[in-house]
Amino acid sequence: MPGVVDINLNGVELTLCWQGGLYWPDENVLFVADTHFGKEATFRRHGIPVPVGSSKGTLAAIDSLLESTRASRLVILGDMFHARSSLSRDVITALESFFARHRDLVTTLVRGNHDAHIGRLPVEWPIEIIDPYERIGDVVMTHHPQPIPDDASLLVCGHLHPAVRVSDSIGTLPCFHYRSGVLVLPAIGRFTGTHVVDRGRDDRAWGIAKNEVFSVPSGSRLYRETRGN
Amino acid sequence: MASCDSATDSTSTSRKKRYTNHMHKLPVETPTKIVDRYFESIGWKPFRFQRSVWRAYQDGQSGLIHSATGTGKTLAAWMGPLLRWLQENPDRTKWNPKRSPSVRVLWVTPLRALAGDTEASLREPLDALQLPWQLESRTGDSKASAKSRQMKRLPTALVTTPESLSLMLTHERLLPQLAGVEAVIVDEWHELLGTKRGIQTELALARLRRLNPQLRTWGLSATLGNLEQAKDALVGVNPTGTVRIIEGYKKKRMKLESIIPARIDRFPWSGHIGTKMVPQVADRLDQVNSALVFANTRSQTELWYQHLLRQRPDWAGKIALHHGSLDTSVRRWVENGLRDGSLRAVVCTSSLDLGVDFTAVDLVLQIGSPKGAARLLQRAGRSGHQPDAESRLAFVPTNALELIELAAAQDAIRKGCLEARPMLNKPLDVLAQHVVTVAIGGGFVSGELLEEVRSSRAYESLTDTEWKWILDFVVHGGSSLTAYPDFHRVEQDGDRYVVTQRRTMTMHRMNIGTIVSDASMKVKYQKGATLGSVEESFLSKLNGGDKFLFAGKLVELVRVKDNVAYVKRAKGQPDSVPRWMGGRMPLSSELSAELRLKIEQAADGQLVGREMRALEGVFELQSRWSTLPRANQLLIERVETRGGHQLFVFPFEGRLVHEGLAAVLAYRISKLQKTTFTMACNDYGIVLQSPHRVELETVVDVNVFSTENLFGDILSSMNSTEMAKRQFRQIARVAGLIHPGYPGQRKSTSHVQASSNLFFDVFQEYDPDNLLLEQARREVLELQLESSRLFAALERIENSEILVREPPKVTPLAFPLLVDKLRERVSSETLGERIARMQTQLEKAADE
Repeated sequence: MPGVVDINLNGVELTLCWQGGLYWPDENVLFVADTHFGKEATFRRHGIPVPVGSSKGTLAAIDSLLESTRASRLVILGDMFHARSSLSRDVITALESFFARHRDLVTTLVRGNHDAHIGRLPVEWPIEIIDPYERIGDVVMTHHPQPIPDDASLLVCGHLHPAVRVSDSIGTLPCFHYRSGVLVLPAIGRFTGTHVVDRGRDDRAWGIAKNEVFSVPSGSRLYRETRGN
Repeated sequence: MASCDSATDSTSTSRKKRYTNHMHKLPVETPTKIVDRYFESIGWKPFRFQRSVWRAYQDGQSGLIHSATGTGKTLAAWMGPLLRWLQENPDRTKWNPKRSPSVRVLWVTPLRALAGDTEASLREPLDALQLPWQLESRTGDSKASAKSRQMKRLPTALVTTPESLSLMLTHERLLPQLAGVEAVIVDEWHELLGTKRGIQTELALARLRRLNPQLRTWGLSATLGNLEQAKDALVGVNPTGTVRIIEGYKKKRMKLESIIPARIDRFPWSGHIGTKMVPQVADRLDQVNSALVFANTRSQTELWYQHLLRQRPDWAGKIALHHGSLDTSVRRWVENGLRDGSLRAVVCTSSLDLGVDFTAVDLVLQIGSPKGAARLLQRAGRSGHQPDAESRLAFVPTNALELIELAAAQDAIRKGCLEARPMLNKPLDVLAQHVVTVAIGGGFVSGELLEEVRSSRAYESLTDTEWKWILDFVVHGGSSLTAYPDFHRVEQDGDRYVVTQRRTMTMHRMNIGTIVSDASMKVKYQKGATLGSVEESFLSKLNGGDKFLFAGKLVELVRVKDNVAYVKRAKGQPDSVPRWMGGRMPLSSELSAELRLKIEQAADGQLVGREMRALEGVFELQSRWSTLPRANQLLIERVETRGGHQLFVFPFEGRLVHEGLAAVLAYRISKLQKTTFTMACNDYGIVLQSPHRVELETVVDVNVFSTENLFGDILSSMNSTEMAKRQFRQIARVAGLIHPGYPGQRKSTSHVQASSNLFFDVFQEYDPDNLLLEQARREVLELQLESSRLFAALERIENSEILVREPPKVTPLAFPLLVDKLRERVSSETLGERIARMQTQLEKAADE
């Protein structure tokens, strides 16, 4: 596949994709984080004009990941929806047509902070909601970054919307960020902000520029978090 | 603002007493006599221009009063309404201090920090004449209790800011009172002119004129190159009465001098920002009682303050520092010290350009080029602050070449070639905000509001399509074709546009205004005292333990927590001085033109004035190795150094124009010849460095200086998207996309917070025709790149003779460019390649 990077973290073979997803070939699972569907609808409800389209754009990115990886399972690592008001008509329609396009796909949502307030999802949606710390093999899934349990190989999560500052002229790019057994995925939502991560010397990060993923060596500079969401 | 230096408190009261006694004896005194007597009591005599203003006011006219500061503009404007009231109410016995007249005058001041001082100076004549007027302020700092009292009944005269004025328009029940306003007086109009705050003021004025067509509008301004435009913006397109431009006191004496360095470097470099001049500056300060020392950036004020203290340790406590990032309490303390004359000198930035009069100041020092003649004049006026006193300014060059700039500025002032304030053209973000303001304040009918908006100068040329888009934007979110579902801000009720949702009203009122500050962080001692605030972008580059100069102290960063940078006092050398954004002004086009003439004079061997004569050696070397260009010539120098092939081009058009020009030149040349350029610019010229020799003959033949397809080439040559994104920050804020101020309610709105970058990306992708994006692109061209100046510069160059010289070494004109650290790269590499290259470099660094 073009625009991907294969990595091995504690014996787990993984593929980092430029669309912002993480593919695990051995289990044929695709992980994505922080889709924030319907965030634009919530903004509009509050009188802030945001065009429609970003939720569909996010779904298109996931479509493209599913097509290239042929994954049979999709795990959303939390913050699937932005707020209760995010379940607007157009967002619901877009999701229903997504599920219709991928009839055989098993979809799992790890509950995140934004999901706590949205109430029940429509029962007919083929989506299983799980609590943090459930596992697939040796891989633990959470929404918030957490210390990895002793007996696991890897913890995958989202929440941070990590980004790295590459240079003054290029600016910040969303990234995958790895530290001490914990891999944080970039936010895949098209209408989500980023958060420059505080990188330690032993951390690893892979930035996403347009349609490629590249490894960003850790610099000596200490970057603080500048923008949150 | 005018004030009087002679009277101390006690004498002024006794004078007042004498004066009132007098008045009881003469109850039939005419209003003019009363005012004359007031002037007499403060030791002044009305100037002729003041009388003209008063007469014009009685006749119902509007106008603009311009002059240097400290020449009685405030009293000129203020006494008009007072005289008129005296005429209407001649019988003193009917004056009832408990029953003040209803609102008559709105006094708009650009800085809310100035409201208190303004109120005080307006109060003096009210007290002296014992008028039963009520005078109050209404700004963002006013108490809620005062504001709600004012909602019921406005005072006779109200001092306010553009933001608070707009806010008042959102309250329908204030409108009947505002309809009774007789005059709006806008103070320091030149400060608002050409800014979005100025446009906001124009719209509010249009609204007030709709409420009262007989409204008089008066503006107070420094002298500008475009007074006609300033006047039009103030009074609108079709003013009802006659409109006057009245020049204030003209005979203000002014003395400009330069502190000429003991030794003139033939290779001038501003790298040490002129601190070699510290001993000479200290000596000059010794000769005066109190001085303002203006530096061009906040970081320079920090350095100069340190250097002066090191030079004269006994001045500790007698000199101080003043800039916009310092805590308000510190700034107040400094201002009071200046007012009572207890401070010998204050090193400051443009933060002290405005308002507050410091009568004790008898000298202004300007460090580094003021970049404009009007600014130099304005700053000089900060000293000798009485109409009959002399203003004195001493110029301290930070590199020898700046002496030419002072000489040029003196010529410009002599000829009256002062800078024009460039005007903004119909910014849609401000209009969108205003339309919501009016919708909240009682609603509107489309045609009527359009007519009102078009009566302001800024929106005179607003098209029907643009107006339709604005309405769609506030009603549907986007153009009606792609209406945003579930969006409500303004609603249509029959043919009226109104706002019904409380939440929308509250949110809008919280966020009225156009001021956007860079994300900044408080700087505090661990023990708790606040020093001020500094841009996040600076702090994010520091590590714990790094030492930096701030608020005149050397501090060490301890940690950053919850948007506060905690510091402690440190010893030793600073690792850095905070660099604040926006400190770099380009040389004005008026001054650039004079500068070219000065260099032409030097080419002819005419060295007039101390400044030019001091530079004789520099000019001699420049003409020996290369040439001094005449005003109708463009000098290009080609030199090979260790760094590569250097091409120096000297248009003398100011830094911003040069930045755009450098990018365009590099882009055009690299289309002819494959190469990569490194560039740097200053106010005089450009250097393009390349690994290959540029074939100048082809370059000149194909005319790389052509104005043809200029804008297209600018857009292709610069990272204009990134620039537009930065520009979009303000637009997003003004148009109500981001809501910075929601005090105490941060949490509940955090899920509707997004950065302007994100909005930009989303609009770009899903609503590319959004006019706000278009506005961002236009503002980049106009404001960041000064594209109209660039166009004019190229037109001039096209008609100039091009001189190509190959000097043996880098010339005096070229040297500062060579060492200039500002480097920008343009190359045909793709983003991926650039990242790859950086990766390799970073990998290497990581391995070391």
